[in-house]
Amino acid sequence: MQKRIGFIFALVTALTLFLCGCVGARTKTLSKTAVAMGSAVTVKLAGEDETQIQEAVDAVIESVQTLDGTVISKNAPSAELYRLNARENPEMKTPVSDELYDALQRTKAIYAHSEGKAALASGALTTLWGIDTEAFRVPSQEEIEAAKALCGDKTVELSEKGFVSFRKGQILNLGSVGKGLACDKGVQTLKNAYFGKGVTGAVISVGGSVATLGSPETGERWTVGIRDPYGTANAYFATLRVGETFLSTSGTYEKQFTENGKTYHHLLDLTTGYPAESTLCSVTVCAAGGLESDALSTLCFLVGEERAREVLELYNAEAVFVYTDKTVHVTAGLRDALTVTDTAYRLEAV
Amino acid sequence: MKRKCFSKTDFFLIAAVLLIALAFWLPSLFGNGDVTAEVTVDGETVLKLDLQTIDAPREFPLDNGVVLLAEKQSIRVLSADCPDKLCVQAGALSRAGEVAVCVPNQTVVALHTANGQSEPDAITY
Repeated sequence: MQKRIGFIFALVTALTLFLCGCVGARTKTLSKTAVAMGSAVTVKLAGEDETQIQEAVDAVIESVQTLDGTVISKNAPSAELYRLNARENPEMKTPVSDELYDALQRTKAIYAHSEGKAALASGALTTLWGIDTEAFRVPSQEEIEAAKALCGDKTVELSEKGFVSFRKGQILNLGSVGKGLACDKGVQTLKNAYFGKGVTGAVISVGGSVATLGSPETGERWTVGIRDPYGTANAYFATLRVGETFLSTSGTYEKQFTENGKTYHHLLDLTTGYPAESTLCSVTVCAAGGLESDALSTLCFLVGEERAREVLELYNAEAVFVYTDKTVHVTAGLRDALTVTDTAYRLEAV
Repeated sequence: MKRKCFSKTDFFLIAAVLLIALAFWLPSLFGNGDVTAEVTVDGETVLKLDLQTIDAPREFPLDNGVVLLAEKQSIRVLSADCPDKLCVQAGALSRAGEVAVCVPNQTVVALHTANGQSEPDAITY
């Protein structure tokens, strides 16, 4: 009997060790979070070669940092956009790099559908409210009126040869699309040197904008949680099962501040000069490009669901709308991908 | 004594041992097995902790003024000298994939696991 107990123990132990070994030994996954572009950048890669995964993770983080510091930041003197805004005479046409021109042009094209609520030239108002520097304050009505007059893209000219000009006093701003654009850049970095050459799957997250590439270790779809607007930074109320795509969310919980008992969020409506009044608390957009997902999520929040659905269709994009009463609406293309995990939220058919 | 190849006692014994084995194996399948907290400052790893090995609450003051509090199964930013305190508000982290970030101090606290398949791959916010 003693012997038999010993044998059974040995057998089961061996079996258990074998099974556990199997779980850990296949594809390797490496995840790294760093601070770049003033936000958290997380890169999660799956692949067979550990050294290469490590190198790829660092390359992605580096490319995001470079994009911000040399091209799209409007606050860093080393960046091209900063220098474009700082010119003595912005009405004179100036050539810019292909990378910056492309970002400006794509952003302007999307915001043209915003009924004037969003624009490339939004810097006068966002600077006044302290949104970019997070030195928030509520400006006076006079200040808002003056800044409002300097916002809007009618006076921004992007000519076909890569030249840019705009009215004096205007400030071009890529702040509302920068994180999505960084996702585009990260994906491009991986595709150029690593994806398909040792790296089999990737998830890049730049300050809440997410890009997925390839497939995870298990299965074909990635799982991306949507932040719970009323929970802590790591809480999510729903998940999306997605293939290769780009996701961005605009929510009132991000970059908000309270003054004299009133809470202000960072999503400014350029037609009023104040944070947009809305029954929405967040909109998540799934699109074919990072810049597109980021710009569209801002636009959808500002224009409201009805108009947003029309614009989303133009870009073949999908969205999840979350309202302050915790009802959730989703466009047809994402219905099957969405699972509401928090029972306090109610998915409503529209 | 007459011995059957497989007695009732044997059967229960095997079942019991298998159950115990399963109890050890299941947690490792569903993620919350070995959660490691990794703390980086300016991209450099300054601290790595297996949260299962922490028996009593323990504070970890970093050189940049950020103070962490590790407890069994969880870790949080206790205090930091940044203006917004978003890192403190992130609360206690216990599941793989959760992060607390202090942008002004370039500090990241991230939880990893070898097999955290039950957690989302990312969170959009």
